[in-house]
Amino acid sequence: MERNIVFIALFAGLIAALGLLPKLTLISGIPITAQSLGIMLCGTILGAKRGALAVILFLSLTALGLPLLAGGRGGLGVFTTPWAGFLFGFPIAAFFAGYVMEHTRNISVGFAAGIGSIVGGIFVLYGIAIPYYMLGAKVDLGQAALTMVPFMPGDIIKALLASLIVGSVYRSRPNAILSRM
Amino acid sequence: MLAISIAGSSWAHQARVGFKMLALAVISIILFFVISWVALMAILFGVIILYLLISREVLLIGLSLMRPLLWVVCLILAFHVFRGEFIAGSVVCLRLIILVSLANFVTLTSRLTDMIELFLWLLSPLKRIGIQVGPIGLALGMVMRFTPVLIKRAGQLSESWRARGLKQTNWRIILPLFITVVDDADRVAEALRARGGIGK
Repeated sequence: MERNIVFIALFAGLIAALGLLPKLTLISGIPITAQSLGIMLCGTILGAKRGALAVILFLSLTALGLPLLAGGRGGLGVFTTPWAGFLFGFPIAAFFAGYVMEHTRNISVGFAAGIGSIVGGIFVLYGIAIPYYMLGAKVDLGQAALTMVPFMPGDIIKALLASLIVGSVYRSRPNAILSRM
Repeated sequence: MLAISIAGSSWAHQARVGFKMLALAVISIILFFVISWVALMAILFGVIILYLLISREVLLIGLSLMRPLLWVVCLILAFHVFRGEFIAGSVVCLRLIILVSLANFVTLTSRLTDMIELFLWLLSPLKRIGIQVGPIGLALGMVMRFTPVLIKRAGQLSESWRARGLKQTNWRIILPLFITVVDDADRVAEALRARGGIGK
């Protein structure tokens, strides 16, 4: 019980810390932040339920008024934009990333983390964010996709990094991969 | 740690947080039924007055919070103009600007502790289905306490990375950051258990 709650709380803090790392700029000129990498790592390390709870905890504090989102943003206002589909999708993305980890025990941790990150952090997340943007901004699928596609190469890189990082965490601290406990 | 809200004792600060949140929810729903851009312009004007009623500085802070929204609004408007629906586009954008600035207004004028109190009160019915609110409050406190520590540690790792002659901080500091946090988590959990643990 204590261990679960502490892990959830500290990982919520990690998502915030990752959002403040300097941005990486892709060749396409789109800056990527490590925040959604934090979501992938939360899900794949903590597992479906705990991962989603850590993300919900992070988002709750953001909504209550802490500037925890990348670029020091926060407050209720960030949840009312058409981009908020990403925020509402984050816990679900972490859940599915963790779900993949929990149900692929015969595959190595690092590889499963990569698959989980792609399923949760890309398919599920964009599956929520794109329709949400279409409804919020009243644009059609093509226009919504055109807005989002530039961010996808960054997310694929992040899924690869998640795979490497989770594999390394597993090698040095096997007990920390709660999704495989 | 630093919250977004600004200290003050204006009427908006003194209004109850629960009331402000309820008002925000009601206005947000009503806004979706307003389809005239003239009416929306009038409402936006009202929102600006709302900010100005507190002070000019608050309006400026409110405007700076809107800056990340600027290109989003331009992009949405551009798509609508492209389809020849300038009026429909401006309605969508105006509604968006009003919603975000009103939500920011509530955040700016509400203390974090009051917001957390309201949040835990809203969660209290969860007791009926067997979820205890106590651990949630503890977790919120832990995040607030540890986030600045983790941010500082990420900064130290970046510094030692740069001190070794490597210019830009990159993803390589994430692994050591996670390892230290995992070790901390075990120690904190042990310390909590040693102090009686978290009540079931």
